[in-house]
Amino acid sequence: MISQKLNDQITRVGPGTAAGAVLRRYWQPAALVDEAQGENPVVPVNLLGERLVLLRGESGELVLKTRVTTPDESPAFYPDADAIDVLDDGPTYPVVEKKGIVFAYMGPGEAPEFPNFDCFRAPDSHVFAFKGLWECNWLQALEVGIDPAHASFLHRFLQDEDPEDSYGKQFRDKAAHTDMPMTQVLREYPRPDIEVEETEFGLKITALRHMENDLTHVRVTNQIFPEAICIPMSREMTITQWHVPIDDENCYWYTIFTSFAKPVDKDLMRAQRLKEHRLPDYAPLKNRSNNYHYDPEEQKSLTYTGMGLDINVHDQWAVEGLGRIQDRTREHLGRGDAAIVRYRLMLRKAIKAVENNKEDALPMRAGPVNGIVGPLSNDAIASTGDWKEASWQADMQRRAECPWDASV
Amino acid sequence: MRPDVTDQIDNGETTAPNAWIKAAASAGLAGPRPVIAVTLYGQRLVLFRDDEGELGLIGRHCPHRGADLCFGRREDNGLRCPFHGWHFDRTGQCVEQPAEPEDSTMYKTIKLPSYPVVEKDGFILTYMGEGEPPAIAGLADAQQS
Repeated sequence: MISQKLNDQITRVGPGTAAGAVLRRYWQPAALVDEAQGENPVVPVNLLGERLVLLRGESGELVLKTRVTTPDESPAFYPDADAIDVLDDGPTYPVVEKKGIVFAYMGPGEAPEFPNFDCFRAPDSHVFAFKGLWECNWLQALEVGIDPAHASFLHRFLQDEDPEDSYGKQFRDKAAHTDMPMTQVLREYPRPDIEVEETEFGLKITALRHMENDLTHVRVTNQIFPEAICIPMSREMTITQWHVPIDDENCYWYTIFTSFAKPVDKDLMRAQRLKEHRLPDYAPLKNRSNNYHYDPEEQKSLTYTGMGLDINVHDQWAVEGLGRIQDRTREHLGRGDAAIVRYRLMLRKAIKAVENNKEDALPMRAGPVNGIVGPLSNDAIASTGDWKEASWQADMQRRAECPWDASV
Repeated sequence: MRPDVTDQIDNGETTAPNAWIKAAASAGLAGPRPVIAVTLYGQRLVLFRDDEGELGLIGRHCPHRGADLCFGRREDNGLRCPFHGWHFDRTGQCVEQPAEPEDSTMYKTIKLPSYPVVEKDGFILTYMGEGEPPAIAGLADAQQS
């Protein structure tokens, strides 16, 4: 449980807020490159409580300008291009295109360099980006991603799918080098030991599921400061996902799917996700207004939630169900929430650093960041006594076999 | 309407009277999954029937992080939160936290708000006022019949 004052401090991100000042010190996903097609794109962007528009400046470069708004606009309002007027004396922010995402820098001073994470290092052929709307505060969206225990329940499948049909889907692959589907490991070992270490980019989170025959399933996920996670999706792909505030009560997830060995089948990945979202605002078709297509019969026999096989919908239900801004004055965190507790401390430390003009104390804001690589993000099954080394070796093997430079 | 039962009217009132109030029509729990959301005097609650056929009226948001128990799994004679499997009986007591370490006894300290419920004349009544609830005229007869 935390106080209302602290909950406000770590969740609210509009101009002039403490957490907003921290987020503004980092590149923010503002739009998909898919949205900014054509010679003269005019793309509405709703970011950190500001109403913006992405367009080409006089020199042909993409820029993010402020747009004229009316008070009754919905938070994810997406007006037609010809209905958008630029507010001439509003702020203009620099943007860069990277791996399918247009990133914006909305903070003071020089924008930081991008770290050398796999999602930025992989060639364009090996990455795919997508986004989706969640109607809740960004922090609770992030917190479900740094909570390794929930996968054993929220994403539980009461029957296992054939891993051969797993392409582009989370948790449907075989676990590590075994024939056991990942869904079975999660279901049968629901009490992971969780280890959290602070790193130069954020947090390394290790979930250990101790299995029979002295084997341990090791799942390594990461928090990338301030608002991203990097997690394994399958043996072939990782997910790097930002939880980007639209305002205090809505956010977009932006994901870069990164493939090690094979190029990404972008058409299939895009089609799988467009089937679940509407354009132009990327709102999910299953949502609060239709009870996420909840089916009590399915909940009895197939999935833990009764909301279909797409784990994104499960996460969306979980985080939207907490209320627009989770009331953390009533929460009761357990040992399974260790990474959440640690992350909030990091965010509070960063808020204090910005307030005291000690920006060098922020992660990845002082000194060169091109040496920040990885992060290691994978599933492995190892002898219990040897799990640390085995987890590292499994990742190294994948990196060594990779056609692009994934060395760490 | 009987004088000893007050209809709940959602008029923004947050102080419950010292009287039994109608929480729902019994018909609302007649389907194959007897779990419904009820908001009474500003309190978001979930009303459900457990495997023993008994009713529970408990807080709607899981005390862990706040997930919506209206989508809970109705199993093991209670409601189980789909987020991390926390399990609650009809009194709102947490009886299991299956993601926490085996030696954890934290669940014993976790209890959702809950209110007494009785079923009478096609309605489910609850008492949210102060002190002990008053007797309901004719209730004993109704239960015997």
